[in-house]
Amino acid sequence: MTFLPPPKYLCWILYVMLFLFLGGKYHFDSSQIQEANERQMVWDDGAKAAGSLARLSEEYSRFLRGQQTLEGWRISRYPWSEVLLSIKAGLPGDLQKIQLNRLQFDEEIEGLRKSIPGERVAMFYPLKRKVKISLSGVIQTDRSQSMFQEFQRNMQDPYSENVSVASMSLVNSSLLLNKYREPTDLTRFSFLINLSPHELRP
Amino acid sequence: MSSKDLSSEQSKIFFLFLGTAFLLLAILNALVFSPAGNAAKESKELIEALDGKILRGGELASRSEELIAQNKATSTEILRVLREDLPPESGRYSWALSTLSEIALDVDLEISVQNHPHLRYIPVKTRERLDVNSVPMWVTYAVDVELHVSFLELVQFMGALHDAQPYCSVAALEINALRSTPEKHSIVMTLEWPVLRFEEDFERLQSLSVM
Repeated sequence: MTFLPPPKYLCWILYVMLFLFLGGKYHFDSSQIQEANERQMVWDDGAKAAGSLARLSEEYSRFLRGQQTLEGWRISRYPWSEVLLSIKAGLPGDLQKIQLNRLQFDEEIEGLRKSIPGERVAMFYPLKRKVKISLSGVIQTDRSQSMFQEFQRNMQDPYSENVSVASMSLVNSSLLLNKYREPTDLTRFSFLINLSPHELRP
Repeated sequence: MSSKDLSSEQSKIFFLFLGTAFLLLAILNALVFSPAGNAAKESKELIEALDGKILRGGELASRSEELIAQNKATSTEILRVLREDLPPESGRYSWALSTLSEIALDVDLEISVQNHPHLRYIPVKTRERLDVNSVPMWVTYAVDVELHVSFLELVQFMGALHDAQPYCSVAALEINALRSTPEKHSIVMTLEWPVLRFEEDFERLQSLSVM
């Protein structure tokens, strides 16, 4: 019984099998490298287009935010005519006995006014309107403190439903003296009113 | 013939061939197959990485038309507001003066309008390495308005202003009582509109709106 071919054929067979195996592996590796090169070429071609699309996408986000801010700008404005009417309507008692000397406010758009241009992306949204109103005057009454409390109560439930007061405080109140340095029925007062902040969102 | 039958000469030739074959294999492996195998391994990793990028790029590319259309719609809307309701790039003061005078005239009041003396935002100091996303796209253009009117006339003016100028905000207000005219008060108010911080944005919006 014989299973083995003659030695010189056996060697050739081994050689051939070995080279077939290695050749196959080499072919597989080469095709892998070739595929990677092809992918790289595809990516190189597409990368430029993808880059410009990415920039377009970034630009879109910025302009969309800009448009939303603009829309928010419009609808977040305080209705000042209604605020003023609410203050007037909230004043207690006889208006003839109240003399407003000064009404002043300064609105700040938080995130906009103090925003510093720089090198990095900053988080400033949502922008927010904030208003502090200072109000000062003189009232003629012998029960000024209860009048002030009534004014504060009235402002918590203002004349206009579009006006919302976040907080209100009596900053100062003092009786005025006559020329003989005697107390009169006149009281000088000043209030600070914080309106509820409005976010600049559509 | 079995292996037992191999002569010593034949065995020698057989093992010589076998040894030569392994030697050749070792040399080829070191010079060709091993580097090729390493390169193939790196290529496989590269293919995986590039496939991810190409996929994302493809998704982005498929969105390109949608993105261009969205950009066009957004920029057209911003430009519409800029042209119809906001102070123009040049001649802002004369625009504000004529706009406000017209509103005052409608409610039968006289006003005086001046440019606000200070910027109500922090300007760009240097363009070097500036990221446009570090600040909002909008800043404000402000004017000061002076009036001598009664409280109700003021309310009327502010109501008319709110309706006629949808983007005009009252940034500051000061009402002082006047001893000489108890019915009329001295009023100074600062009005402001949003304007683009960067001039380049206007040009870019224009080009996007016609893409």
